[in-house]
Formats: sequence, C-alpha cells, structure tokens
Amino acid sequence: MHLSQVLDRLAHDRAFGEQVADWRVLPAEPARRRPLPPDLDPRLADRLRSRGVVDLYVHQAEAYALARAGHNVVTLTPTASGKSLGYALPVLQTLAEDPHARTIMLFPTKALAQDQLAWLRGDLAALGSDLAVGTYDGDTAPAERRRLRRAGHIVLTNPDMLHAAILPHHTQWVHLFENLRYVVLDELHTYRGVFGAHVAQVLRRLRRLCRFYGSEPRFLATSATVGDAEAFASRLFDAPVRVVRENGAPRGERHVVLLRPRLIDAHAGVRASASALADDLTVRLVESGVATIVFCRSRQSVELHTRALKARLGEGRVEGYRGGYLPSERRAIEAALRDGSLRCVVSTNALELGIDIGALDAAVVVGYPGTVASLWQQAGRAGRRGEVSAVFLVATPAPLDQYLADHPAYLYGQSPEAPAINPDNRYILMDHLKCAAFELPFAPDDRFSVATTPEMLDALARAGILRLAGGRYYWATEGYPAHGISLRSGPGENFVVIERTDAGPRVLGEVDRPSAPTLLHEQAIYLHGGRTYQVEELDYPERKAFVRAVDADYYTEAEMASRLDVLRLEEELHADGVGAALGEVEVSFLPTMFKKIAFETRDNVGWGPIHLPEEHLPTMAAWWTLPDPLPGPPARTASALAGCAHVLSAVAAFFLMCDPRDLGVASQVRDPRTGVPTLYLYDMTPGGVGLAEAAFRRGHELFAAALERIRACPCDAGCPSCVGPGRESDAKDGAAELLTRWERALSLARAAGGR
Amino acid sequence: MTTPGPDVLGWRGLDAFVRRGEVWEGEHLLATLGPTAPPSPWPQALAWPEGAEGEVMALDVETTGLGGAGSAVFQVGLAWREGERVRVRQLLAPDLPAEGPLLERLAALWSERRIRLVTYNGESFDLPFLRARARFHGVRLPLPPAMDLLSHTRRLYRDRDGSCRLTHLEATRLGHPRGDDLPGSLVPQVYYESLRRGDPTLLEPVLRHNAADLVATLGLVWRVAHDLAAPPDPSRHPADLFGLYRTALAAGDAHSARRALEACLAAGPPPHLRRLALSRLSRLLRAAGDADARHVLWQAAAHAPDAPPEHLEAWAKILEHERRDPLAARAVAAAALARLRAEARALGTAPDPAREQALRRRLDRLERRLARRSPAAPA
Repeated sequence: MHLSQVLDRLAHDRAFGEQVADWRVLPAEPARRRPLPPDLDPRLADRLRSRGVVDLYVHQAEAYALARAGHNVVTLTPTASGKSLGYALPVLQTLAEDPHARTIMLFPTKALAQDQLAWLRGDLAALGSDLAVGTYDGDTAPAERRRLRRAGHIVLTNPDMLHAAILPHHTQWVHLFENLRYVVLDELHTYRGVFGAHVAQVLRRLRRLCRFYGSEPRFLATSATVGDAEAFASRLFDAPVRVVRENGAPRGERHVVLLRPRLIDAHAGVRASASALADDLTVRLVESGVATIVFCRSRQSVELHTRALKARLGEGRVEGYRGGYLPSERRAIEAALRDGSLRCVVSTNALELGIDIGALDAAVVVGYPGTVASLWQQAGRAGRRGEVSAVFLVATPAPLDQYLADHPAYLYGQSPEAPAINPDNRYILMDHLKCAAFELPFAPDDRFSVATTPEMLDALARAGILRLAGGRYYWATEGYPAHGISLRSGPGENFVVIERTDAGPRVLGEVDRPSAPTLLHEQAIYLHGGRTYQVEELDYPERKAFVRAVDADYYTEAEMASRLDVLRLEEELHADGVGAALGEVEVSFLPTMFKKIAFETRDNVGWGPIHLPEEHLPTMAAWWTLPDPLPGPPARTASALAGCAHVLSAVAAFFLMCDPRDLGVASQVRDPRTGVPTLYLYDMTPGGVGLAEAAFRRGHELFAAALERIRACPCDAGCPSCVGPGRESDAKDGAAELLTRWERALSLARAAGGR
Repeated sequence: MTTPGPDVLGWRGLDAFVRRGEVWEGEHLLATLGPTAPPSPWPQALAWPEGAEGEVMALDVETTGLGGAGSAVFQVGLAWREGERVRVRQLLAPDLPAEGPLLERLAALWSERRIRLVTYNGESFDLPFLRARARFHGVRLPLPPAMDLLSHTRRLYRDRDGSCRLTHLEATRLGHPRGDDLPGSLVPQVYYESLRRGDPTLLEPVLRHNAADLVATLGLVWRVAHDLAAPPDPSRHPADLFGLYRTALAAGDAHSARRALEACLAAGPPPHLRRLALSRLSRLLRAAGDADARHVLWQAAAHAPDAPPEHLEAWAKILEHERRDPLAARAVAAAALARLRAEARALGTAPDPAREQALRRRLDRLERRLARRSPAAPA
C-alpha cells in the first residue's frame, strides 16, 4: 500500500484522530532560483551545467556572494537543500583564480566527509588535473596522507583529526597553512556543548597557526535552522559572521503529525502509553508495506521497542540500532536497510547523520528528540525525492514533550532554541593551551582569545608542563598532549561490557563513563539486542563490566543522591526581593539504590543497594531565590520547589538546545548558603559548557515557559507532564505561585536592565 | 695500540664549550673505529647522490621527542676524519629558545665548504626533522647532499647480524662494544630534566652518546665501502656474500648480484641460506634467460647428498616441463617424496600434508603420462 493511502486511512480513523494534537501538511514547494554568478569561471560553470546545475537556489547564490565579499558565512537550511554547493562554489572559484589556495572542510563524522568527496573531486577536476582533494581521517592510507600533506588543495576531515593529527604536525602542512583561504564547517549546530567547547579551542589553535604562517582564512558553515545562529557562530569562530536564512530548495509534500496519547485519567493527568501508541502505529505502517524508522531517545528505549516490535512483527523484520553495538553488527543492518531487505529499524540518533541507509517512507519519533533541529533531521530520513513522506512525533508525558504539543507552532516558526557554547570552560581551555604551546610557544602578548591566558600559562609552567624561557612559554614535557585529549567522550573513557558464556568471555558492547554507574552497577539488568543480561561484576578502576545472559522479566533503574556547594559567585542581580545568580559550584553524587521495573506492567517489583564511590562534579550553576517560603509547613514549599525544578529543567533543555541529561537541578527550602528558598540549575559537564550561563541570561523566558506549561496541563494537582509525580496535593498550585513570583520579578529586572 | 672510541683522547667537557650567543659549541678530537685506509675509489653501489663531493661528514641530531611541532632539535653533532683521528663538532641549545640560533649556526658551518653528509637513519629522521624545524623558525638551511648508511647496512649485514642498530654493528663490524652509553630513548627525559634543574652538565651523557654515534657512523661508512669494494670471494662469510647480492640487486646490477650468489653458494652456507640463495639465483637466471645455467644449478642442488625435498622437487619440475623427461622426473619426484617422509620421521612428526599431496599429485600425473606412451617410444 502506498503511504498516501495509509495516511488517508489514518485521517479517517477516529480512535487515531483523537490522539492527534496537530497534523500539518507541508505542501510541496517549488524551487526559487538565481542564475549562476556572472564571475564564475567558465570551466566551473560548464562543469556545473554538465551535471545538471544550470542555476542556483537563492540560498546558494547568497552564500556565494557573501563569501566572495570576504565574510564569514553561516547558511541555515534544512537537510537535502543542496547547501554544500553554497560553500563549495566560493572554494572552487577561488581555486580557479589561485591554484595555490587551500581549504579545510570539517565534518562532524567520517561518513559525512566521505559523502561529499565524489562530487567535489569531479568539480575540482574541471579546473585542472593537478588539483587534489581527499579525506584525511583515521582510515586514510599512508601514501594518501603524504599526498594530501604535500598537495591537498581541499582536505576533508573532522575536528578530531584536525586536533590530533594536523595541528600538532603543522610543519608538515606548511603549504596548507600558508595558503589557507577557507575553513568549511558542515552541520555547525552539532558543535555545541562539550564538543563545541573543544571545537572552539581547536579553531583558536588553527587561527593561531594561520597567523604564524601569514594566512587569514574565512569560515563558511552550514547549520540546521537554530535561533541566534549569528551569536553562536561568532562565539565559535571568535569573529563576526553573516547569516543566510532564505531557503530556495524545492521539497515534496510532507505530513507532520504530532500525537499525544489519550487522557486516561484527566484529574491525575495520566495518559495512555506513548510507547504503545508508537508500537501500534509502527506495526500498522510496516504491515502496510511502508518502510519505517523509529527513533528513540535512549538506548534503553531502543531495546524496549525492538523487543516489543519483534514480538509483534516477527524476528528478522525489525532490528535495533544504537551506539554500543559492534561495528560489524551495525554495517550489516545499514546494508539490509539500503537494499530494502529490512523494512523497519529502531534507532537512537546514531542514524541521524551521514550514514547511508537509503530513504525510508515514514519516521516515527518516540518522544521529542531534544531539539527541533534534530527532529527535522530525523524526519529527513523519510522521504524519497519529491515523494510524499510522513513523520509522526509521539509525545511522552515528559514536560518538554507536552510543552511542544501545546506549542506545535514552535516547530515551524522562528526557532526558539539556541545552541549554547562556552569557549572558556577552564578545563577544556587548559587542555588546549597545552596543545597550543606544543604547536607554537606562547609569546607574552598571545592571549588565545582569553584574558586569563597569562595566569593559565603560569600555572602550567609551575606544574612543569610548560617552560618559561626567553619570554616565551614552551612545551617542556615528554609526550604529545593531543593524544590524551578527546573532543568527545572518547573511546578510552568507555566501560566495556563483557559477556560471560560457557564458551568464554566475549565483548558485548560499550557504555559511556557518565552512564556507567547507573547502567552497570552490580545486579543491574543490561539490555542489548532486546535481550537481558545481568551485571555480575563491575570492575570500576578497569572500566569493565561482566554480565551473563539471563531471562529477566524486569529491568533496573538506578537512583542517585546529590549535594551542591557554591564555590564562587560570578554574577548576581536582585529585583523585588527575588535573586538570580551565576557561579561555580561543586556537585557530589552518590548512587544509592536501584529499582526493578517489570517489562509488562512497568510496576516496581523490587530494589537493591548500589555500592560505588561518590563522584564530584565541579561546574557552573545558575540559581534563583525567593524572599520567603509559601505559607504553611516547609514540606509544601519543598514540594512546590521540586515541581518547579522538574518543569524548569525540561523547558530549559528546549530553549538551550541540549539534552535534559546535560542539566542538573537541585532545590532547598532553606538553602544553607542563601537561607531562603533556592532553585539551582547546573551544567552536568565539568567546568560547564555554557548552559548555566545561558539559563541565567534567559531566566525570564525559562520561567515564563515553565509557568505556561503548568497552566496548560489538564491535570488537577500535578502529573509527570508538569511538576512531576508524587508531590504534595497542591504542588501544582504552589509551583505556579513560585514561578509567577520569579517570572514577574525577572521580567521587571530585564525591562529595567534592558534599557 | 689505542683503544678506539670517544673515551680516550681529546674529550672536552661542557666547560670547554664556547658560548656563541645562546648556542654552545664544542670540539673533540677522538680515535677512529674500523678500517684505517680510505676506500679508493668509493664503490658505485654506495650510491652517493648525484653531484655529491667534498668532505664526508657524519650528522646526528638529538631531539626532545619523536615528532610533532612541539619536538625540538637541541643538539647537532658533525664529525669528519682528520688523518688518523675524528674531529667531532657539537652544537648545543642549552635551552629551548636557542633552537633557531642553533640552526642558523649550522647553516653557517655548512656554507663554509663543500661537504656530503652521511647519516644513520637520517633519511627518515634527522633530515626531515631539521628541514621542518628550519621552516618553523624561518631559517634558510640548505641541506648538503646526503647518503643514509642504514639502507646499506640493512642489505649488507642483516642476514648475519639480525639487528642493524648502530651500537650492535659497532660491536660486530667495528670490534668496539659500546661501553656505558645513554640509551637514545632517554635523551628527551634527560634534556627536560636539565632544563628543570637548570643544570646543563646533566647533558654530558647525551653529548657522549652523540659523539659515539658519530664516530661509529664514520667508521661504518668505510667498513661498508670496503666490504662493497672487495671481490665476492667464497672465503668471505656466506651471509655477507648474500648481503652483497641484496646490495647489487637494489642497485640493479644483475651481473654482480649473480656473482655474489654464486660465491655465497660456494662458501658453504647453512641450509636456510642455501635454500634462499638457490631460489634467488634461479630467479636471476630465469630473468636472464639462461636456462642451461639454471638447469645445472638445480641438477647439482638435487644431487647434493643432503638435498632437501624442495630442491629435488624443483629439479623434478624442470625435468618434467623443460627437459620433457617424465621418466627422470618421476624418479626425482619419488626421491623427493621419500626424502620428505624421511625428514619427518627423523623429527618424529608427520610430513606436511600439503607438500606431500603436491608431490603425490605430481607423481600420479607423471605415471599417467608414462602409461599413455608406448614403451618403445623414445623419451
């Protein structure tokens, strides 16, 4: 059955229709075009025409013009809009005029770089056989590496490679650095959070070397549509940028269906299961012959859905896909999707970027993926050229999902989400100062874009890592600093999961370090491939977990106790008795116990203790105070505060474009430091990646949105979708009251400070 | 007789080094190692670069690491012969900012006269390192023509020596076991330690190590030249003769390669080398189209009393396919199979099944062919 017919049936299905919060048909749109630029080299123009490009989309033409005028450019357009040509054309035209010119193109993944290589190679060949382009990454053969070092006009690589292999060896890349004209960054919005803070440093190192070699490259970037892209990009580049927003690419008809499971109990705010709705819909689509991808928020939920769908569709008709599976396993699934032998896959965002799985017809997104940009990227996995496609977003009870279901317009209008970045995280900065000193000794006036550079260099010299001699700081330690520094949570940080079998041990997968205490504590149920394993032994120092296959009818969820201490106040403001502050804090975590949850009923069927050491997190926090608690017993304020924290962290994740897990919250009725009711929101990354700061600056928006969510929630007295479960009976009203006081004061303060 | 090596005459400590701005410079006059007579002329196979002439100067650099822009050159040693002695000149950057001036001083020294460099592993390490550092500091440092001795010693000596590390060859080929020497891998650590403590005298062991390498390199370059120039006489060690073959092969000199292998076989090589030399000589003869010589070679090899089964098999192949003598081929193949089994029995194991099967198939094929022939037909 064709997708249109399936959609037609769904539209006439009353039970389904009751759960549709919003159904929009984005009509097919024609292209808007401009002629090829008049200054384009005729060889290039001919080459473009020969591959069917007779004119440009408006965004390509504008990006070209801005780049040619010497600006740093960011183009904001959806996936599959031909944005690559926007940055490739100025690069190629520059090469047509000056065959010595060099360009670095950075892609967040190897797969994305590989994707661009073939057509770039073809276009470049039109300009001369001696112009070279190639990918430079971990898979590149030694001979090709030498060729690119010597004469690579366009080098396609990733930030990790630039960091660990190119910058530290810049003396082997003299031609590149002397003649570097452009640095291209694809998928710019992915360079946020920890990764973004690292990449900002890598770019500072790059620009520092360029100054040394006498070049001054421009940045050309593409990004998903995000708010405040200009500020984000200019922080990342340390330079002003121009933004291209108008999209001229055509598109096929797309149905965007927002589903909100039906209310079972309106008073308690209880809704039917989003997972069950997603599974029912997926089964319906797949059985009608619609190739479907299901996106889940977590690895755990990939496993749960895979298990459920396998039971209903049958083994072999659906596969799970996530990080932590072995590469061979993943390659096999990708191939099966490409050749059409597999018609349904359940994945985390691991399948979002760059990996070639062909096009499917429909995407079922279980739970808002955390960012609008990510949602559109997942939606982009469905839809063959010019044909009808559909994306179904199934809202979970999470406040963020419900907030979006209240405001579907956020998906289409000006994006409220803005990626946060903190290029001055001092841990990350310190790491890259070492790399930078290795690459080039620091001169006294070399600030590395940060005022505190001299103090940091002094600290490194005192530690014997650098050496101050002749007025310069030199790298003065054996070893190679870039090797110890991963731009992401590197593979060395992961825990390895090892299965004990009668035939001996075998590696099952990997778990990142922050998740390890909650997923791999002893007796935890670890899920892989829809099967259950129990952790028998966790070797914490060696980062190994030993598991054994068991037939469990439950899974486990761990709980953590946390404590927060303020180390240093950075900024604060007061208005109407309400305070807002930003500062350095230390949060201590202690995993305490785990619960056993039955697969079938989601009931709590038991518990056990966890014995692991306490972990300490030095980070940045924003906090807000009220002059006094609510009338009545302190428990009333405590419950209201916890409710505020619950909803606030959800809307903050939305506005700050991060994963809710990147944010921590804490609250106190009589805070030991402030003595009054206080609500903390902190970065889960050591040193902070800018989320707390952004929350501090956008406090009035966050509180307004949190308040709106509570007011829009149909429940009587609080539910998981607003203030969270298990609160005092008037927690919802209490939270609304607290939020109102904060929101009013912060808006006033902003209005006063804004002028 | 003086004991050779840098420990004897004229070693001058760091206090005798001259300060030229930030760069320290010292000279030593040391005893030579190895041959005392110069090669005359230099053998062709040594392959100096086109147009290389002038003084032969050994070069060895000491660095703070193995690579990357943060690894610096902090010491450069040069050495040349002066009569019966070796003159070693050492430039030292006692602190990191002196690296640029050190390279400038090196450029000045090299511009004074015509020289050609000899290095040990300089092609992969010392020269690219110097080139990168000079570029980094913006110092014009034209490198003199250079020859890397390591490529030669690998070909010439590895069959006998196994390791071609400089200190190893210094012991085996120059008769001078290196005494108390700082391992090269510790050099960066020692340098950083001297910086931390502000004590350049800690660098004395590095300077001695560098000088010892230079003296050994100069001794070895004459040793190699003499060994290459000497005729391939079966009185020489068979493994060295095989090394001569490797050298000639690399130089594209098929004639010398053949003579070296013939001498190697005549010198009574151990079994593994004998097998290797035979197969290489056979390959050379095949390439030269000299079938007769090849047949004689294998015939002789097969008739040696201790001929291994694969030599018999090789001869059987020639008899079958080239001499077209199935009868003789069958006899030799049968002998090969018997030898294979006898060898295994002697070792108390079973014969290699793949080789045994290959020989049996050959025998079967020959039997069939012989059966098809009329007994009266001429062979």
